[in-house]
Amino acid sequence: MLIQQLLNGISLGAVYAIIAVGFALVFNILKFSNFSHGGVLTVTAYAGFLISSKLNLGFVPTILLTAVAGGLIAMGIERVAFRRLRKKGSPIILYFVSSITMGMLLENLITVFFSSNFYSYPKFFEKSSFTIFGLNMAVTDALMLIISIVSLTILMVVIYKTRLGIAIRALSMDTNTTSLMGINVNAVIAATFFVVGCLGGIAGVFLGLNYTLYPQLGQLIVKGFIASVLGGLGNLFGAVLGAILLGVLEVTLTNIPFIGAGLSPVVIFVIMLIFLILRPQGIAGKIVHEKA
Amino acid sequence: MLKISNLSASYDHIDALHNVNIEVAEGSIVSIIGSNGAGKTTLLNTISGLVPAKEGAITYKGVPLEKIAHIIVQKGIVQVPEGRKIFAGLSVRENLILGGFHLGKHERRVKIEEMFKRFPRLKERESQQAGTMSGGEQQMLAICRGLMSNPKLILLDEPSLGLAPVLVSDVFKQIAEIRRMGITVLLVEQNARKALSMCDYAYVLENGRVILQGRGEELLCNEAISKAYLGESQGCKEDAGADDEGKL
Ligand SMILES: Nc1ncnc2c1ncn2[C@@H]1O[C@H](COP(=O)(O)OP(=O)(O)OP(=O)(O)O)[C@@H](O)[C@H]1O
Ligand SMILES: [Mg+2]
Repeated sequence: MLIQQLLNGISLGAVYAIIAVGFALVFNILKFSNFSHGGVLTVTAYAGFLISSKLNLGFVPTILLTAVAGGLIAMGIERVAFRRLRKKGSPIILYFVSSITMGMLLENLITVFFSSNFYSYPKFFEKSSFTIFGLNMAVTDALMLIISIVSLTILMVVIYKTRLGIAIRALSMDTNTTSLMGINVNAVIAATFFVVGCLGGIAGVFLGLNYTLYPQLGQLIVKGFIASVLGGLGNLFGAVLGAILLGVLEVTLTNIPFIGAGLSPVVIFVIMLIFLILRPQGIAGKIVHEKA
Repeated sequence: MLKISNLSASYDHIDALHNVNIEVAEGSIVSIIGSNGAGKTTLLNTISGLVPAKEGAITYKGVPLEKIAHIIVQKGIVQVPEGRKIFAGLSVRENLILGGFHLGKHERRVKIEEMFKRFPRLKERESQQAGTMSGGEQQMLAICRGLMSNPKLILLDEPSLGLAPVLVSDVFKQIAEIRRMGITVLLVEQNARKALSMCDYAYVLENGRVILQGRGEELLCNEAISKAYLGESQGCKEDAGADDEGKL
């Protein structure tokens, strides 16, 4: 029972991890909390739905195409909402406002085009769950876990082993000096947003599968935010750890009779506050201040 | 090679450069001296495209210089910024890779080996975090990182800042070596005596204006300069000898 809960928690945490890492990456380079990522989650959840139902594609091609779509959308957001701010050297608070506005805009566009009806993804698999070592696991959960692990691994390789990754890390430390290296900072930021959008697209499909579709789906970005705060803002490994912790915590709390699904968000926030008082830099982070 | 005419620049409402005229001949070392806040860094940042010029023109090899920082580097003008600004959290090798970012993979590798040959210390520390190295090692890394881009003109902003005297001499030896490699040097220095004794031509910047210019030795013997920047006790003849090592 306990191990079963742990497994469920980790599967849920894997989805949060994908969201949290996308959130953390942007925080890393531009130093603000990018809530427009919620808009990307909503739009890609619907995009994945359209791709799978209209094109009649299977699970993996749907994820891949949606990831690319998410990447392009995030690049578009960066272009429209943040690049001009960067050019003018605007204060961080404006990025924050701009990102929230972008998130709401995307959410409302979805409401306009799909109204507030609920949709759900086609059934991708014959069986909905399987048993392994006496543990019961939903097929989608297992796939989410696998795909999360694969995409996080690819992400870490990109960030820590490639030239683009070095540039992204350099950018997170010092923008001006990065451009003195002959590096096109705008291009690196655009590429980062593409990567972040891909992660958002993958998370969008997962969310759509888990919760059926509604325009406010992207507000689950809050989970990614909590996870990356728990992990230490801007720290990628921390974000993953925070997300797993959050997933396990949620599943556990929901299964405690007098807390249940209703009270668990409250308890989570209380735990987050206590945690931040005790360890403001998060699990893995050094202290970083959002300059807003 | 580089010609700056009537250049003015400002930050919001603070004027930092007024009507600056500077010329850097190919193959030479030109130095800029001046006290704190004179506008030396601003001048280099304007050349590098980090600070926009308000008025005036910069031409490089006879054509107007681009205004976009990364393109300027690709055209062959690199800056080694004040305070070194190495990427402390990245490894020594990663810092070098960044310096040669626009090179092809093979060329970058060859360049890195070249730097390691020049400074075996860097090779020993290849995968160490750059921020954990000593000040002198960090300065060497900063210079090597600049050289990685195959520059034709290198802008050095106070490379001797905060280094022990022995290391200061090392840095100046490196500068002489860089010139010998055929790279033109524009050197900003607080260490005026050393800078003047090794450069071909020098400009004195005060409050954003060029107040004096001339050949290095000339300025070394200039009384006003001695008073303001060199400490008045020493005459010019002795220093020329005392600072011979800087000349190489
Ligand atoms: N980012 C900035 N914003 C506003 N003012 C600035 C900025 N950078 C420099 N200044 C101002 O411009 C003037 C010139 O500064 P600059 O850094 O170019 O001087 P410097 O000669 O390099 O001095 P130092 O020897 O201390 O490095 C100074 O008055 C400084 O306060
Ligand atoms: Mg300076």
